[in-house]
Amino acid sequence: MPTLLKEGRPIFFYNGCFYMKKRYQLKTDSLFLIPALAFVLMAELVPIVYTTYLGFMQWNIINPPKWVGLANYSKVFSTPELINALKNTLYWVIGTLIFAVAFPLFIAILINRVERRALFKTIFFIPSTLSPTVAAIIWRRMLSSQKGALVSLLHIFGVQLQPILTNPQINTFVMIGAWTWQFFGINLILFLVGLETIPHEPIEAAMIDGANPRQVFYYITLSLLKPITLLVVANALINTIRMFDIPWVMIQGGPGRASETLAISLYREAFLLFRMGLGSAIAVVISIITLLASYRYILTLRDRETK
Amino acid sequence: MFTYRRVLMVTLILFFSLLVSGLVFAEPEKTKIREMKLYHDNPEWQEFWIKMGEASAKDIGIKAVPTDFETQMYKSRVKIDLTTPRAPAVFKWWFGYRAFELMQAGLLADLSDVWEKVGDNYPSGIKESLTINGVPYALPFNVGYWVWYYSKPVYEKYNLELPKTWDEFMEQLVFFKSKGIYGIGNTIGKSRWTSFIVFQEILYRIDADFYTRLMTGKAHYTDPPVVQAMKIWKKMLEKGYFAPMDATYVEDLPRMLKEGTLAFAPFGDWYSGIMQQQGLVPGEDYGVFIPPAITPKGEGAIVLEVSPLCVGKNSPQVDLAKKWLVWYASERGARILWNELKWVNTVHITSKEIAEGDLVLAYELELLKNYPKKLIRFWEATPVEIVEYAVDVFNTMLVYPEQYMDLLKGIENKAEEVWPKYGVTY
Repeated sequence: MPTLLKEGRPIFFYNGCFYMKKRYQLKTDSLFLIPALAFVLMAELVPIVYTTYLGFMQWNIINPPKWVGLANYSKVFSTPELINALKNTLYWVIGTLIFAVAFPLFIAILINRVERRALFKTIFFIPSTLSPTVAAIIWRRMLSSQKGALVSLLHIFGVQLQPILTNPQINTFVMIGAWTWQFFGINLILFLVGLETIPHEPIEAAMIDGANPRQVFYYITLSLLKPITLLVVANALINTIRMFDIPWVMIQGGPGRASETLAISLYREAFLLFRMGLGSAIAVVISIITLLASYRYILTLRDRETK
Repeated sequence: MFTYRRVLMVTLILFFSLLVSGLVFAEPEKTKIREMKLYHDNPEWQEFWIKMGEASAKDIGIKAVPTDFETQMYKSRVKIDLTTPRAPAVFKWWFGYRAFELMQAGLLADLSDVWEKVGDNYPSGIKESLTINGVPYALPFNVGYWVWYYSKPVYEKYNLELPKTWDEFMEQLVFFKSKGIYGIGNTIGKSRWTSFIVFQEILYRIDADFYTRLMTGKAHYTDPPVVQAMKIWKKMLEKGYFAPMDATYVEDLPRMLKEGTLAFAPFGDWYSGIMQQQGLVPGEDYGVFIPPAITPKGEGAIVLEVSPLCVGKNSPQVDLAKKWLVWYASERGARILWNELKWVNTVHITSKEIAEGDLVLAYELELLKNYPKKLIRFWEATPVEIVEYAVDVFNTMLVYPEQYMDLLKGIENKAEEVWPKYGVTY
């Protein structure tokens, strides 16, 4: 029996320890959650709600906001410049999935068979240690028609290159290349980690059962790599849908608005043209697309936690 | 025994000794320096502002503390701060329509009292150029004219004379092309805004009055003079008279002028400061030139750019800012501006000093006497919404010149949408 239990007292002493009654325990636990909840509320929920609210307004910062309903959302899907930005973002996503996800997977499989793979890992990983902004500056200088390294190198071989970054027909693809260079290493390392953790037994068993190397790759290796692949794809999608740094630093989404991504449109509309409402609507659209794109990953994580 | 009287005596003696020692040994009180917030968007001139702040601290006890921002970020930062007590005391801005929206929102302080004190220090017309609805809202930071800088090495190498007619100008562009020299440095590497320059420079040389009418919503972007300007620009682009578009105007163009791989660079005369920072010597590496008019209607006109210093009305330092501006407009302030940036705003700097300090500038000021018609730069002369849209369109023009008519229609549609907001029937 609790020795110091008295009616109405929340804390009691029993067998050399202090205890708290369950109903009071719950209340106290909730109190400890308040700082974390307040932080989440302030740092995440408030901006989300405020941005969504601004998406329905017309506001140029210096005059009071005015309610315009869904007009901003309608503009996102009807203004030619913003449709172009949506299209460019799609190019970025497809390009990233091919060059910064599928290609590292292929290289990882090749490197995994090599004895001294640490050297390759280091070489491929170095660009990942740079920030996207630094990577963009390096590539901008390399591609500059004014004594850029690449242009100068080609000049030695008699090849005259026209300015690349101001050519709207190719600049998005060139910038995807720069992004791949920067993002490639981290994905490669993740795939290598995944490959190294795959046990030999299922592969050996499959081979004994007569599976050829292609079947082993498709049915065993890829299948066991699924969690890592999911992580890499989700990470790539999230980073690419909100792509800003590289196209902004390299050519400011230009020439004109030709290579703008949705994130650049957001910045331009909100902070250069001071259409905060339209900028907010674009932000909401980006968030929804990102959420939809990473939905599968979130589901998998939830399933794993349940298990 | 301690009596009440003794205690009182001892206390009084102690008090007076402390008072005397305090007076004897106390450090003389330093002049209190008050700091004043100053915002600008030119990192290349941050050193100048620091020097200015230190000098004003010494002279009047007000230290201007400058903060430099990247231009794009600057615009939003200033707009946001101006609506709050965080507003900068003094800030550099753009006049015309860019200041108009701030004035309309009541964010600019009236500087009539400052102008009363320093008005005589400025040449005539400057105050008027910084006045909206009869109220002066700024003092000039830079009064600049838009000229064309030319490469001295190119002209010396080929023993050329500057063109006197538009046709001669075009002939020289053909000649430069044949020699592998870029004719005109108008590029968009790291700067989208620069795309309006050639449009502006061609248009007002066709018809200066039309240019003003277009800027004020009294003419259309599909009118013949604009179409003619675009056709000339298109031809120049297609003939390949321009430097590579990805070149930057701060680093690449000055180098190309110096190396003799570029003939002309059209800019405001603040560009001279940038070229000198890049190591170019005025008169040796570059000279100044004003291209001839294309038609008689374009004669005698030049584009003026006034960068103003405004005062944030919501700043708690408005009084301090006004005192500081009076000092800034004094001879002392003008001399620092001249020594550091070679800019002349006030009447304090004599023509002799200018000739001794910067030959190119002296020549430019002499040239400008033949251009009495002052036009406002495109960037400030017309509503911001039209300018920002047009700048992107002109960027596209550099890539797809054959689409010039569609591009003009796009600007015209934007103008139709924007002008009514400013009470102009378009």
